[in-house]
Amino acid sequence: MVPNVLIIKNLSVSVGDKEILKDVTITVKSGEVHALMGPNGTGKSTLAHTVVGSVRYKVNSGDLLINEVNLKDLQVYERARAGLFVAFQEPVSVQGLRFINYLRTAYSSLHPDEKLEYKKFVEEVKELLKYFGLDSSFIERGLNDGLSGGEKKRMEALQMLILKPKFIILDEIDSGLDVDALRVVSKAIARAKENGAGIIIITHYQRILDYIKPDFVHVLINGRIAESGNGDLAKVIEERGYEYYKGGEMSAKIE
Amino acid sequence: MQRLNEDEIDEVKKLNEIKYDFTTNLKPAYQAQKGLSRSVVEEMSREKKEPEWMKNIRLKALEIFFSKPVPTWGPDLSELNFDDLTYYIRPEDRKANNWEEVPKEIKDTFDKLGVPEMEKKYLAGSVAQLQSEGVYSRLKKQWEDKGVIFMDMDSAVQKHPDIVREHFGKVVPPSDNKFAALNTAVWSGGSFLYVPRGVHLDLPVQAYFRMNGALEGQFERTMIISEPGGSVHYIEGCLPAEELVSKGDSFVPISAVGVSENVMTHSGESSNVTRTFVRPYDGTMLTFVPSSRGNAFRLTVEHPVLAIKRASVVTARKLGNGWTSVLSMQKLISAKPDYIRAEKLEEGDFIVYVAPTGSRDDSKFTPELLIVLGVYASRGSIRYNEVREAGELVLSFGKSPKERKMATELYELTRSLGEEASISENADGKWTVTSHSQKLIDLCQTHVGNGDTVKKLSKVIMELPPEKQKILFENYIGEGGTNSTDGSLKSDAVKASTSSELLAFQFQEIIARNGFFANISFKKLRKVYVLKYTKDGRFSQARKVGNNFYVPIRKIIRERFKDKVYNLEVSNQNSYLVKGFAVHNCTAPTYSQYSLHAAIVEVYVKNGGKVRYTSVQNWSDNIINGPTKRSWVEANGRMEWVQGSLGSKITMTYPSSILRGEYASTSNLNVALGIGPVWKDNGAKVVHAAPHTSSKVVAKSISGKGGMSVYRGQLRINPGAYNSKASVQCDALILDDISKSNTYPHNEILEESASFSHEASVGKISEDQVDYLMSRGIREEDARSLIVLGFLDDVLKEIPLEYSIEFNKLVKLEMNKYGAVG
Repeated sequence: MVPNVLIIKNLSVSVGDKEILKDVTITVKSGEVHALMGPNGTGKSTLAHTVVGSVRYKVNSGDLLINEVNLKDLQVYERARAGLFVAFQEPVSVQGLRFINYLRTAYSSLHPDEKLEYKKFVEEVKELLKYFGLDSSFIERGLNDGLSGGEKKRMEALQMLILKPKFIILDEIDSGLDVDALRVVSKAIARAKENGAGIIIITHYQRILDYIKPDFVHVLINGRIAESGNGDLAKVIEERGYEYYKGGEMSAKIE
Repeated sequence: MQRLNEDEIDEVKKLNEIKYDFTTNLKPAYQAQKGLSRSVVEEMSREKKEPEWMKNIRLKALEIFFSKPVPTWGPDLSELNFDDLTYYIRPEDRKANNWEEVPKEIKDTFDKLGVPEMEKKYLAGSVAQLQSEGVYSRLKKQWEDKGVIFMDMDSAVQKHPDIVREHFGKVVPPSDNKFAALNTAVWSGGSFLYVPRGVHLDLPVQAYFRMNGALEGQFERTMIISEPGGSVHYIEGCLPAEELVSKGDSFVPISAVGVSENVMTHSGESSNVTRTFVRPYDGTMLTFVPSSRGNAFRLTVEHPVLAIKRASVVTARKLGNGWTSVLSMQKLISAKPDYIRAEKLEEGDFIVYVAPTGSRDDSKFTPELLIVLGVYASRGSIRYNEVREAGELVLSFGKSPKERKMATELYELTRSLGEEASISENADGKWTVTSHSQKLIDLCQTHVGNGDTVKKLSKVIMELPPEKQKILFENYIGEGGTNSTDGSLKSDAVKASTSSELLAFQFQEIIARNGFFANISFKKLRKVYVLKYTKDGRFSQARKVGNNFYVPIRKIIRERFKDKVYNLEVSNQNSYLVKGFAVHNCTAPTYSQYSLHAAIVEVYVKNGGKVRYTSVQNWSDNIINGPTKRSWVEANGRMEWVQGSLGSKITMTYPSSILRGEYASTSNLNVALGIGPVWKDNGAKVVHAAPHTSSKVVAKSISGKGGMSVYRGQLRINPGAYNSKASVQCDALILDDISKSNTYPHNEILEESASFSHEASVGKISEDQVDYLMSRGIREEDARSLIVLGFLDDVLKEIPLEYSIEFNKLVKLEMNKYGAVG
């Protein structure tokens, strides 16, 4: 099978007048896990929102590709149909929109050629709820309505599995998760990887990376990739802290 | 003429429905003079053979009506001229309690609404009303035996005067408001429901109200009495949909046709639409069911239709010992069709199906390519190949030797066109031809489409010369003249089936251009349209003359209709085709008219009783709807109001509950859709007049396209109603910047020990929510409708299923129109 590839190439992005991302390049292939690390306010979430296609984020230059498809030309929903899934840091809730109805609509939109067997689908969702330690009543509840922060994160991870995307960007999926939840979410990420998805884990801490070892690590400082390396870089960062990059150490060091 | 069986009626119903044109009324048995006076009321009471006491109630109410001003605190009612209205129209002299006894045209109306069917399935009983009076009432015997009474209100005055007199006007006195006074003076129809002590009516009962012509008032009076410990669910409501106009290459709903677009005319040529008309219609609608049932279409009584009267083409022939008239083919073929008003047509008359003439050849479409397209239309699909990450064309065949031969031929043909293809035998012995030729994929996608139910032929194909189109069609049906497994056909019979409605009509047109008239029928179970014809024209009731086919009308269904109707003005030709049949332009002016609906509903819930009253109104947008609904709830009783308001121009409804006994409770759920130039003034009124009473009000409104939604509520907890609880929640969603929503809560909490909460929210659809849903592959319009439906969910789930489905459809439709704006 020809692997899929997500290419973020020389991407510069601004919000309002302010340039947040500068010349960012990351290439993710099927089955790879990348970690994008960096201190708060450095543009990690901006990257997620830009890839999703939120209108507030303006791409000044650079490209966003899934295989040959240029995401820049596509609307938000078309990007999702091209195979992209972003788990948000703060998922919205929609009162009254039953989770299962939402999920079914999303699935049918993403996989129009597949005939969805409703009963089977519901069973699958119920099983996953159990897997994530979530109550089966969530299936009929309004989307994220009244859920705790941790529950919402697990619901995002659940969607990541069921919607079968080609590429997954997890924006601080680890924040607000206790140890048990962190473990199951990490397991889920490993599962998605096995299924052939390419994954970017955006995180502030290295904690989640103890459970799921990344193949590549990128450090984002002030909107630029300050350093890229293999999975071991995460440990190094933990030891020396982000302070290390503050001294003007901007050029990428490849180990 | 043959009668349609239930299945066939259903089939006709399934096929979209047309809405056109102008109003005339069914001839009433009695109609009062216009306007309101003492003599009109007296006359009405005399017509109804009412007891003296009822006449006196009416006359007293009339005086109150004259003395009260038109309310000015809400929507603008200045266009309401009480002298313009007709207050009493009686359609029939007789009331039926068995659908067989109901006059045919009236029964057809309710058949179309599915009333007899619903009654059988899940209602304990129903009452149906047309114009001013009930025409039908029925209660299942098991409930009758328990003493339940369910009938129209007029009959109740005659048959149960004591109960009626004891309760009439006690909850809603005529002095309550101007509309209440008016209703009390001129009320007619409505329903009467009496549930004796301790009886739990566990199936709902339903009342159906249909309003007739313009400038008419409907003032039904409903009274529900639940004796101590009784319970019942009462539903009030009605539903309706749209028709396909031939554009030559395709068929579109008439409502979607715009000015300067081309449509087909009676001559079979394409012409320009110069104007389009839309207007509310409230009157008789005719459904013409031709011998090809799938072509059934609806139009108003005045609409001229190109037709030949059967009477003008018969000849006398001696039969047995008398003379009879039989159809003369000779006369029919030489007759000249003329435009005849729809209401003058009868079953057996001929209407004219027009095969479009004129064609435009395109040399790109070689016979070989047309074969491929025909086979693709019948058994092909385009799917995405994950491995190749590209589309592929898949043609599926069966496993018989014949199928195998076809697969092989097609494979070879594709290769001979210079396109890539492969052939394979599946594990189950069936054959598949696959091609990854982007050129072929694009051609199939563009000219046939993908997906069984939505395939349709392109404009280019529909304009090809008939002999070329024939190649495509013949390869659609394949060898042996049928593409289905039904082997019952004679060798010269051709049968084709498709699950795409549009494709069915397009093939009918192609077949017609090739000289045959194919009947279309819809098979409900398999959800497929079946076209059938014989090459020698035998069994067909249609006669070909030039490019016309004279097709007999098999059945005409008359029904009441209230909704928008559409008409087109077409240059030069003054005609257009509906489902292939020619009708005339209408040149009459459109004018505005309105009707007044001012019902009174009085509900008595006695000790420990429970009543749920559900109403879903979808009146057309020329109706001013101002019902007064109120309940009187005694100790431990419970009253539940569920209200969905979809239609009407102005609505003013505030169902009220007066909690008179300890531990009485009420809930009031209200959804209003105020989209377009409408004013929805909805709300609730609750009076806590006893200790330990509780109430809950939930109101949701949506405003869009300049619509106004108002919540107007009154809540009062009287001194001494200690430990009472009340909560009011009203949420408004505004879809754009030109629409409005207002909230006027009026709360008087006069008892210190009572608890009360009020929550109100006004919001717009959050763009973050839309973005989130879109990021999961959902289109913007769909995202918006999901959010709106979610907003309404609390209340929608309390509404009977068939109505909540209607709500869903309507919201999706409205949101789709918003999609473009964002």
